[in-house]
Amino acid sequence: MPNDTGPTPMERFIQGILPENPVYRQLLGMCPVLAVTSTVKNAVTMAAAVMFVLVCANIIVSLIRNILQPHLRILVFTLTIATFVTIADRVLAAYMYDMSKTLGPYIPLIIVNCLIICRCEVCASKQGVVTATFDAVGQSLGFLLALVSMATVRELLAYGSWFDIALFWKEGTPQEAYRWALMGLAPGAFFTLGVLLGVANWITTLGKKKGQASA
Amino acid sequence: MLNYIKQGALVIFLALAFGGALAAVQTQLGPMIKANQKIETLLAIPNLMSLGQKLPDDAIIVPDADAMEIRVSVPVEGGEPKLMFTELVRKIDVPNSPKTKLFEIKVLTPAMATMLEKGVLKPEQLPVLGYMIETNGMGYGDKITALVGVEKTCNWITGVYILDQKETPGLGDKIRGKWSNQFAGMGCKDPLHVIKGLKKPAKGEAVTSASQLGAIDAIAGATISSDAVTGIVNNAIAEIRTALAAVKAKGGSNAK
Repeated sequence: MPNDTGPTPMERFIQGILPENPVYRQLLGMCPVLAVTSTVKNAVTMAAAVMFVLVCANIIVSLIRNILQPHLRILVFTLTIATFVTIADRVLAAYMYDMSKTLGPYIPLIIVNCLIICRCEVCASKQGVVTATFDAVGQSLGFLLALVSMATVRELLAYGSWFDIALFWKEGTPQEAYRWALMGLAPGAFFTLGVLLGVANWITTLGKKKGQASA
Repeated sequence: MLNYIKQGALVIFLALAFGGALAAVQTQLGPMIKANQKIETLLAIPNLMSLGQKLPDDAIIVPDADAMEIRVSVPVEGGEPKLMFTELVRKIDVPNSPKTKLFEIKVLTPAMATMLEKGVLKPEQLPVLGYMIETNGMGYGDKITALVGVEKTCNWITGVYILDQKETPGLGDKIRGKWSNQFAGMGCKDPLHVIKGLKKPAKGEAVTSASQLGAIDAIAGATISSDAVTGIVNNAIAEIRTALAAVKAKGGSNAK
């Protein structure tokens, strides 16, 4: 086996969470980011499903990376990802039927989530199993963080709750009139993503300026 | 040459291994998913067969998938929930079409239960609420599976519930929401049809144009999905009629 020449497992892990956050830095996997972040519960389930698929796909691809020919890789990536997505879909339908109904087509759509194929290509097909696993876990934690941050903003504004726990008002009370229903719908997803992306970029610029000032 | 065989073998091996894994998952989880779907069907029945009467918002609906029963009760402060009624679901075997999923729904109130115990009432004398059919048809994206309920004389629709659909999220998938409530109470005599931007007559105002009779308002941006569901409902009613006629014809000959 060739020696690992890329980043170490720990570097991969840390990179995935914030510096290379899949959503805020790489802008990958936008479909679930916009579609299933109306409540935190949906977001967490989605991120868990993505984590399962990403970890499994990265491990398999990393194991067969030495016998894999370049022109076959996309075919094999897709085959691997589709298998684990189907497993995730079946498991959700068996153990969390209501959630599976709510997420509907978005679970099968993980197959075309470019975050997973990107990690297979960038990391798993070039580095060892340990690095690939750390990379997958780091990237999915970054994805979870992004989804939950989006869902927190949207659920608080649209439903006044967090993880289905009512915080501001109880259902059926007159205060329910304060809910900003738009945030639960598609336009709310775009607003929130735009604002949070802006914040993420602003923080990065601040960090860079500080780095320049000290140097 | 050898290289090609090697690559081919790798892909074939992976496909077989993944296929095996999927088969194992399906054998393990398939029955659980089936049971979940059965419970969803049972949970939909009380509202589907309510004949226009709204169940109380706090009604407790408990499905029993093994006995094919649904108990509907209302909570009582500081006590056991009070049982309103039990609905008994029985699959009817339709002669010559074993695939038809037709169900007969009977109702059992607590008073009837006491009469049953005393022997005043026989189980087969329990009143039939109506019939329900599980049917499907092609939608915009994929197959739509729906439950359609009719009242016992098959004169009007008691409700429509979408069990499974893969329509466009945000547009076509609205068929699962409040939209399908407008089928409840529609007559079964003439086929229903879809009208875009239907103006419902105000309360008390008579229906003036013939086109408004049996008209279903289309979902804006999802005309094909709306048409598909309406078509499924029309077919379902025809299917229920044929099936009931077949059952009756066979039942009559059996009695002799």
